Amino acid sequence: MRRSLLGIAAASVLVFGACGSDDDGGSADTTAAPAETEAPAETEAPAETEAPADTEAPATDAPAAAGEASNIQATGECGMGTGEPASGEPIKIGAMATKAPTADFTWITSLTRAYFDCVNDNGGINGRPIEYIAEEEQVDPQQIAGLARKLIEQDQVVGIVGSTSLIECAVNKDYYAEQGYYLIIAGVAQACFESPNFSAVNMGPYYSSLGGAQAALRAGAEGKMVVVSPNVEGFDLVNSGVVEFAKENGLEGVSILEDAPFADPAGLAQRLVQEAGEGGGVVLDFTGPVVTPLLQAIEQQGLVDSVIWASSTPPNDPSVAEALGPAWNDKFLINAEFNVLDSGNPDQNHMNEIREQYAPDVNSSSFAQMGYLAGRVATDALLSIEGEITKESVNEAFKNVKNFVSDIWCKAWYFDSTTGFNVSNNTDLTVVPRDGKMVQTEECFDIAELPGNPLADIRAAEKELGLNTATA
Amino acid sequence: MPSLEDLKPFLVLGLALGGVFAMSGVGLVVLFRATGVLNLAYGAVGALCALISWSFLGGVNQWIAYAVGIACGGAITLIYGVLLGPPFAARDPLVKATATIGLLLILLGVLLWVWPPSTTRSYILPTRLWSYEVAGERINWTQIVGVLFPIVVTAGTAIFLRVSKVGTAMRALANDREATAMLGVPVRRVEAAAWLGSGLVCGMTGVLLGDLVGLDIVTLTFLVIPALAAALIGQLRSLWVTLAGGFVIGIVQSSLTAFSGVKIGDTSLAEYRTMAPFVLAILALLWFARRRPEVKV
Repeated sequence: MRRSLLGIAAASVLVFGACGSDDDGGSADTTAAPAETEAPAETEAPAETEAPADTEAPATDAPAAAGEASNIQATGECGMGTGEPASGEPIKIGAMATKAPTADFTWITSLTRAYFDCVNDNGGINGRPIEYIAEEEQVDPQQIAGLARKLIEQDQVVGIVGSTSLIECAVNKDYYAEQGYYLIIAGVAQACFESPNFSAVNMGPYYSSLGGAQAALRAGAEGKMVVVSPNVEGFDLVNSGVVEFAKENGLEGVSILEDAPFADPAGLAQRLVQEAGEGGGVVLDFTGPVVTPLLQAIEQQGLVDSVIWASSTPPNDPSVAEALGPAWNDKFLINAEFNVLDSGNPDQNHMNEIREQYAPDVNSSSFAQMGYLAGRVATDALLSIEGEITKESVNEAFKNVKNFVSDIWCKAWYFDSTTGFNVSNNTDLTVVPRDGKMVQTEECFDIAELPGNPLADIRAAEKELGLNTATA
Repeated sequence: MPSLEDLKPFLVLGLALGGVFAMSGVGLVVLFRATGVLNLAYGAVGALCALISWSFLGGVNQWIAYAVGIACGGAITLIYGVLLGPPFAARDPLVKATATIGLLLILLGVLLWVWPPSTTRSYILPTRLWSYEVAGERINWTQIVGVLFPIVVTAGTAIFLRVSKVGTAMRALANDREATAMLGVPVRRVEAAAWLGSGLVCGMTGVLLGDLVGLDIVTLTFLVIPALAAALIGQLRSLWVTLAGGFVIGIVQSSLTAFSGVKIGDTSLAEYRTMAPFVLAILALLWFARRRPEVKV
């Protein structure tokens, strides 16, 4: 009897574990591919990480109005740059980020907080400090809905900045619309790019995977293009972009959703090579910590040269490059939604400086760039407000941001979502690991316009409304 | 359907993975036989060992780093066994197993707190750097160790239980704890030895898995599931059946990866491979239940 009970208990644990293993890797962002893949057959990478030609920006010393061409932040300054701590009544800004065992986006809110801390040490928003209330959620819709109400109704935040969640956009988009909030976020799910109330500083996994596929095609992938994403609701849609792109270019597209983290990375490596066939392309869509064991297994089994390997943005992280051997040099094409972290450009240096001073526990990564940019855009928008700072004035200022220039982006950023969609970051570049570092290997390129995505309409609107046109 | 050529690499990979499941299963069975505790925190202890080793790498000689990790595994299970073993000694095995879920949750919390999952971590055992081509497949020494080590551990444990004094005491404990105590066997010391031995095997498993599958905390923690399935196949009694069960689970799970072209409805058979331990364990339990003799009233 005792043994039977124990058997039942053990079987229950097995069931529990089986459910528990069906989790996500939660990659944060992704990129896309050019409509015409005419680029060089081999991805040539410059020896040095050069900034994209159109993003070199001189430092300016004061923030411009958020609705106009904005500034590159001068070294040592944040916001007003007075060097005096702000002491007035706090301005409450909220955020929400996923923190779960398999997806942790709190690095993003940590960097936004770091930037706001720097702003507060430099005069705040006309003397008033920013009080940043960043909540953590565990991918529970009820919790997420409750936290949005807490932030808005209980904490009475006047704006929301830096939120990054696996599912929050879908859960709260109607509530934010009802309340009149316009959020500057880092987006994951497609819902974040399909609501007029959100504008993401990144482009999300759908477009970033597409960018990885474009790079793989340019590098000579032929026959099949396989795309692998976390086995999480909504990621079949993420994969659909690569599959459609492959078909448009005469390749067979294969979509795979895989439980992450991987219980058998070596087996998965073999499967991907078999699926893609010799010379095919494989686009991975996982975070750095999740994808690294797979890359190591690929290397160990001598499969690096069997197919063209590409990825969405998240592995653009120096710690991934450090974990890979020289066999991966120039062989892993990562679509990077932002410039390389050691570009040496003013804004990037500024971000590194802020991170080291205010958030040293956060790794330098694409996630850090997202948090920094969200803080930068929001601060300049707040400084542009003339008159009282209220929920209405803050969200109006956020909504009106356009042509915000930073050398971390390929093109200027804006909030506008006239088309009903919002993918203002839709041009990016490719990086590869080389000798323990990530280096840029392709210049900025447009993510592919496809019948299944709204980029053609968005770019037409950009042209018509004069968005996304300013350069640093 | 995949050809034998397609299946070959998965069979090799499955053997190595199955070996680690088998070793974990043997560790679980030895502890259960000696103390009556089914340690559901086994994977979490292994994860802790691997991450402690990772933390020491770079600071000290790598062999010392791995040894420290393995020793920590022994220490944690020993402390748990010494502190909580006696109070739970007379309780039902179900209660004892449930108590280890508490240890699992505490360790999981500590792991996520100390080593946040957002950071990329990895290590490569020196054994992975030595590889050979066998029948067209590249095999490294971590994989070979993964296959051979469980066999050595199982054989060593079986001999230990049969010929050593402590081993004999452990077997006696498995039969009747009270009677064994009455005979003057230092029960607590013998149980502590079982906890220590199980923890050390757990540590070795964790360090090996850290190289084979990476250092993800959740993955390592829940790799107790195939080990548990192997132990159930061995009916929590037989070391050799547990060993075989672990290998079978590893091979089946890995080989299913090759069946990506075979569909059940819209879903590829490969996507069901994580269910393999569960299905095999249930089949084994049903098989054993079928063979159980009828109880005469």
